Amino acid sequence: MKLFHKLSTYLLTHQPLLWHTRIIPLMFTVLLANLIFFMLGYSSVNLYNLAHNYSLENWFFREYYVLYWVILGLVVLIIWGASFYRYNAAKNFYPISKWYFHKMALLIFVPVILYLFIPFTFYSGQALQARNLMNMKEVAIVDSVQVYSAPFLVENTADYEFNRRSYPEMYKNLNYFEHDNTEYDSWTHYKGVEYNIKDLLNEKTAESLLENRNVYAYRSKDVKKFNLIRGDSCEYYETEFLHPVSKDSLPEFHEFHVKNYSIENLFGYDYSYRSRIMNAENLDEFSQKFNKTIHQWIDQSHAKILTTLEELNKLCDQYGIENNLDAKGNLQYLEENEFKVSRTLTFPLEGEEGYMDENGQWVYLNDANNPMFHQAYNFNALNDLLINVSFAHEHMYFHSTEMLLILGYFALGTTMLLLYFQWGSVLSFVISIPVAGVLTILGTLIVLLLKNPWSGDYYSPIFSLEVSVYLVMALSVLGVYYFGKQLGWNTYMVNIAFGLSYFAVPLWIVMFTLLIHQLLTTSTTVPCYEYPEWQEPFSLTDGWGYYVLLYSPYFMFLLSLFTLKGFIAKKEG
Amino acid sequence: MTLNQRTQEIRLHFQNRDFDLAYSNLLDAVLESENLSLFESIISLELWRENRADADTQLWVDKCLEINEQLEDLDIEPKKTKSVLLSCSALTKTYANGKFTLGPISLEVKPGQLIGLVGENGNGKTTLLRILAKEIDYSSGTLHYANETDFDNNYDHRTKLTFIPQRTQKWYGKIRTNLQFCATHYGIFGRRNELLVEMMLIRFGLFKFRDLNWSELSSGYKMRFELARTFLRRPEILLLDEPLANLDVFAQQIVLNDLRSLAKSSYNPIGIILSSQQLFEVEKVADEVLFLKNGAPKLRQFENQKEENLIMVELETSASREQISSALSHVSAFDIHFNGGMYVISSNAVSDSNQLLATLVQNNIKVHYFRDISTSSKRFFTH
Repeated sequence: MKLFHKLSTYLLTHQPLLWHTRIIPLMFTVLLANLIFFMLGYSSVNLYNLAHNYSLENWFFREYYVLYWVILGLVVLIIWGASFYRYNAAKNFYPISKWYFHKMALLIFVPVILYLFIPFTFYSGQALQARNLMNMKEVAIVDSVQVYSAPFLVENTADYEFNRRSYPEMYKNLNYFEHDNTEYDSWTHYKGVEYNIKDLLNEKTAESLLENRNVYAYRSKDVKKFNLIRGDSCEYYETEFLHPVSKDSLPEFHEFHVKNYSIENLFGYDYSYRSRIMNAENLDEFSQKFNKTIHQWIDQSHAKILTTLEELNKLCDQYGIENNLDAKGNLQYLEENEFKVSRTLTFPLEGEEGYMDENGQWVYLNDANNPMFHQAYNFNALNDLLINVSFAHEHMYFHSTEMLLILGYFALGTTMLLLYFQWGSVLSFVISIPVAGVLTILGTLIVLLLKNPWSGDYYSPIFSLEVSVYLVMALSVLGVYYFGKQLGWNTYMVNIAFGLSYFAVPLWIVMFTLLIHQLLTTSTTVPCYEYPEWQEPFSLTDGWGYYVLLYSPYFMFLLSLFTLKGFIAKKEG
Repeated sequence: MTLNQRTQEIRLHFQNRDFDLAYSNLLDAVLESENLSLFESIISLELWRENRADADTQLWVDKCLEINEQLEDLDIEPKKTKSVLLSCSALTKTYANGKFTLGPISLEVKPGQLIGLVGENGNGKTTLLRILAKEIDYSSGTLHYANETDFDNNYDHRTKLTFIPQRTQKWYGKIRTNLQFCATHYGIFGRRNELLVEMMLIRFGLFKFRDLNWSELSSGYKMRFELARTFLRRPEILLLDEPLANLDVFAQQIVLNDLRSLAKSSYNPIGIILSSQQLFEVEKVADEVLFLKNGAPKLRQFENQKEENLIMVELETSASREQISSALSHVSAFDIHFNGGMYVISSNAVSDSNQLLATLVQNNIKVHYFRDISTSSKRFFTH
């Protein structure tokens, strides 16, 4: 206690900014919290967990850990805030340097981001323990086979649908995969391609379609009743596919599906559309055989990779698929790379794969309690794969990069919000909220009148609209900021303008992100198998847009911190 | 006054048993010496006194005199001060609604000068102080600070302008911590910071409250805290708005004496402008009084003679108005006003107030209170 008091006095009388921001006790607390959560993550993983969960990735948010994290964060924030806001050099006109607020922002930012980093620390603890429990050499081999076989595993759904997969280097020259190039960029590319079987859309009777073919239920935009479509049709763009058990699905289809449960070829929209490619019947057969091979291998768990590759090669030859599956060569390639292939894929059981039971209920195959699951796959081998995918490969790197960027934005936003109240009042911030709302509405109206001037293949109209709204808001705030300064408004008004910028400055980040994205992606048109999504810097999706818009920092504040002294000292009129 | 004269004066005060005055002068002298070993001696002495409730006064005096002797051995250079700290000319302020106009005011503040700002409520005292403190802008005229060229911007300049408003802001945390936080920002680091803050706490009578929170202090001590914080900032000019409000009579005397003493420091004289409703108390310590009536100024320098040879006195007596008039009947021209508790008698037919007093006493008027306000700003409140 005495030592703590001595240290505190020393900082107070030598480094007031370090003392004011309570950086030392704060860093100590945050690092301790990281250590505790690392240990929690480490201790949360055991063999039983590995065998009964298909992924470790979201444990932090699924279990109570996130609650502890939030509560501890709030407690630390309240205790720290009570101390931090007690003292204020700027409002009392004590001498401060030009860099004062920048230094303060940095000192707050570091512990904030370290605290927000705790989920990653938790995952690191999990990963360490998972690696301790697994033979990583085996995992690497399993993963390699998984990578090479993945293009032929067609049960995949959700984010890693068949058409979105990235393919290993050796497959890149296969005609088989070239179709996917058209699928990559945009759904609009489906229209008018050569394998589009438009005439099937006009067939009204299901019976004619069901014979030996996979079919999908759909309804077009103007038709209330459902229809069936052959799996190799590409008219997805104009239609809405139906899920057999989804609440949003048509009751008629659900009823139909229950009645025709024996029809094995009827699928909901989530099922893969493998049969779109080439000869549907042949490909179905091919896929089934290929699946069997892969699954057999997985069941055996320790089968030789060479044997597997050879079997894959034979199958490709049998069905006339041009390939360069040199089994020996590829094995050599894998061995040279110590089985650490740079392009990996998700595990095919992810998502909503399952089957319809006799009562019309959807049973998820990835439910560990489902006996079907155990029948279909060797359970432990699958978990090995998943853990490997989550922690050992670049697949996770993609998510980490994305998450770290979001984390950085959020931490910076939080930092600037905490800093704001060193010069601005709570009232001025609160007032800025409805003002920002009015400006947003005005901005929306203006953008709608202009008929959405932003357009592009990569971005949805909604997101473009938001960007436009924020552009208007940002310009408004800049206007308030500039004219407020010119016209000699008092500090109160300028503070409101600062508050407004909290809602407007995300534009700068959006623009910056767009710029990077454009610079990195427009130089060449790349097919998907050469440019898997995890290798992109990041794609600017709607979801990304929301993150950016909601959690973006006060960049304008950061830029304006130089002028803050002037605003604080401004004379009232 | 040289340091030697000052230490002699301190010794004399101790000999005359004016202990409070002697001790505050000793503290001021030690503070001005900036000698850390003397700081430590004073703090040790204070701790010694604090820990011994039955401390022998003579022993304490001896210790004080010992420190005073150490002070004599020092060679302290007086600080160079500017001839004029602040000057304003024809300064006016008109609010947007046009209902009130302040000024035009012309004023000069020199080091060591204490100017009182008086006037009824709503006559512009606070507005003037806020303009001088650069809190609000003025409409016309000029305002110059001697040190304004030393700073790049308004903020940095305001770090040297110390304005204590009537309602001081709320402070959080211990008062010592707040003072140390302030001192560090003004470049006072390490051991010097700790000692100087403790000296300020002693100087303003806050030492025993050093570990209390601001909210635990009484109004008088809150004002003393503001003064301690202000003097840590080494101001060249100090602006105070109603510092005597909410203080008891005793506290008012202490604060005023402190301000006068600090303004008149031989080594670091500062300029002080203070506003107050306590006319008598302000006039006792101020070099000049600026009276504001509806925003218009009337500057009164005490060296000047009374206006138009008018003698004006305040009189409290049990005698009736008729008895007073009868007593003064031979005075050719006089005027009597009664404000309910006090008579105000004015005349330009007498040479001084003694003559009036003598006349009243000779005519058996029982005098409870008598004060000559011929040169006081108080006369402005009687018309």
